Amino acid sequence: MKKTSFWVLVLVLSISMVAAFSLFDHRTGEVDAKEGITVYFLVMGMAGDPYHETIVKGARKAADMYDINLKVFYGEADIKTQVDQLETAIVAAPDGICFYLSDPEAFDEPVQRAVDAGIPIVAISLDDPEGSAGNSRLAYVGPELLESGRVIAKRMLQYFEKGDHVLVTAEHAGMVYATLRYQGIDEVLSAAGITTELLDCTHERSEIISRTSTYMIGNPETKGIIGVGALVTADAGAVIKDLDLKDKVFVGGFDLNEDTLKWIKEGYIEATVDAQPFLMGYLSVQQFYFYYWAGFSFMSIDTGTGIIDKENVDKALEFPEPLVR
Amino acid sequence: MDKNSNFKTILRNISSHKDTKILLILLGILVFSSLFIRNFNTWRNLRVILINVPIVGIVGIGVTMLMISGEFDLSVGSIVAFGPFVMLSLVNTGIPIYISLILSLLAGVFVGFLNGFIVTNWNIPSLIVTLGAAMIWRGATLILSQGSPSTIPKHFPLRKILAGELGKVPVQFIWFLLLAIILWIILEYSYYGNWVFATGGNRMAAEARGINTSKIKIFNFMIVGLLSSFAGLVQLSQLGSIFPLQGSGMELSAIASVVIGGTLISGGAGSIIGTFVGVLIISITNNVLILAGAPGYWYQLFVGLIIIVVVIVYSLRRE
Repeated sequence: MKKTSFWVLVLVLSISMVAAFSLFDHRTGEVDAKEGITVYFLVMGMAGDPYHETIVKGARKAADMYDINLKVFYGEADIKTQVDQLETAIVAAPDGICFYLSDPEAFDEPVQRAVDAGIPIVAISLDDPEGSAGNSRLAYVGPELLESGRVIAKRMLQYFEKGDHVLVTAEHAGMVYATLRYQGIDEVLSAAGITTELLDCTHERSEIISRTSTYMIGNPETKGIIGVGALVTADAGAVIKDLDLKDKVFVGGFDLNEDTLKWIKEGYIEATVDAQPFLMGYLSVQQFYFYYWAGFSFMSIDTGTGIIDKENVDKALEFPEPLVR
Repeated sequence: MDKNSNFKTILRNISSHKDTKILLILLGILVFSSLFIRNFNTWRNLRVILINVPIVGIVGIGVTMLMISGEFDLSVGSIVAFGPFVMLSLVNTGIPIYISLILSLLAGVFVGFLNGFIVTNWNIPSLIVTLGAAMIWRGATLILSQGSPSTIPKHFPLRKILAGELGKVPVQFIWFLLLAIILWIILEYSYYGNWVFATGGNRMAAEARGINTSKIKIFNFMIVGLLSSFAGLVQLSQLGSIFPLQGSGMELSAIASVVIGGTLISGGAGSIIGTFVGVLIISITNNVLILAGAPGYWYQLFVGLIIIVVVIVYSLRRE
């Protein structure tokens, strides 16, 4: 009976899987295994996080265009997992590795081992605070986080006066991206006599909205919200709309997604910094092609701290493909 | 004399009721917060709580039924994201929206059925089965979505019905209340409810009484799957979009609410009212901490403390 049950279950599961995948419109993101260059792409964050998925999308685009075999792994926002993945990648001896330098110490030895083993290794999105002096990676492709914090703070200064208070929200307040961006924001705002507070909101959207809303209700003197990540920025716009604080509280933040662009267009968010994550993924993987084709050196590229606001939001909104802009 | 003894009887019944302690704890928190926490007592703040509570609450009341029958489900967070992505994928292929909605709810039921079937048929601990299921259905969500967030269709007809406002009350809270009442009636006043308690309390004795405990467990898993998928659709209606990571960690919040509400981890005892209040306690605690200006890193610590304290109080009561 149990044996029969087992085979019935296998049959049901098989039919379900086949039906599911034939019914749904899905795009295959995986690059087929090809001969040629293999690059291990180690993502710091969780699969499904829009910021990291945009980076991956850029990487896959480059892999597709330059016939690179791209292997993507997600570190689930855990440093130990990321280090383990890097160690495993080094053992696999690929033609190249892209990774996030999400800790200033933990990656020093593994990266040196990769370099010693002749594996080109490039950091993306997050770098050692001391740059090439602190780590042996060959190049860094991504934004300068501290500077990007300063950029959004400077952009938002026009809405605040000395003595005002600004809330800074983060999905994971303890992570490098959050602390560096917050540092840059606080540096600029404190110099202008504006106080800030960092609020950890988690990455669960109901919780982000609840915590941000509660803070705003409990601290009605708060003049602005700056989100240091994609989710907290988008949901800050939702909070402003829900609490009817448009033109009373001013929101800035980071990264693009459909929600953030919509809120900018409708006036609930003033500006967001576009670190251009698609280009981080694309330009880092592209370099491996040029390295192996003609021996070009790897270049560090600042993918920018461009501001998207009401002046140029339409251009971003026009772009039809998700996870690019 | 008669009036006095009637009154004493009523008081005794109230004090000995299984949900009295948790209700008193909630009352205490509400009184304290109203007196000492600035801005707690405003409609604006209450509304934030009423909007925040239902998603975890709807999942939690389903988990209550399951835990009373002696099982766990760690895949609820994944189903919260999977259900809505099933609906959106079906709508994108041209299937009418109402049919897509029903199919997405059935997808949740199907996941629950699979969990229950595997647990009961091969006697594998539900903690392990549903841990695997959590990864499977999160992976399925990522494959369906290709990692991209998805927005609600522009003319989604049920958006206001699932997450609008009735008067000033968020509709999602009314759904939570309604579903809690339905499950409470089933659990406390139906034969099925008796069977659930019996299954979790003493499976062998329940079997000896002719109760098909496997079927009870499978059915409870299906209820959890259905409610998790429904909670995901409510969240989609509320937020207007859904990310593949949505619901991550929700299983722990749901279990925390259920445990604070007095449901035994070993099964056989618990209540829907307890879970309803448990969800409120966690949400109000977070709310109060933020209003009081506590550093953000304290929230988890306090919720963890509440769980431990409440469990100790319940265990002392049982002794």
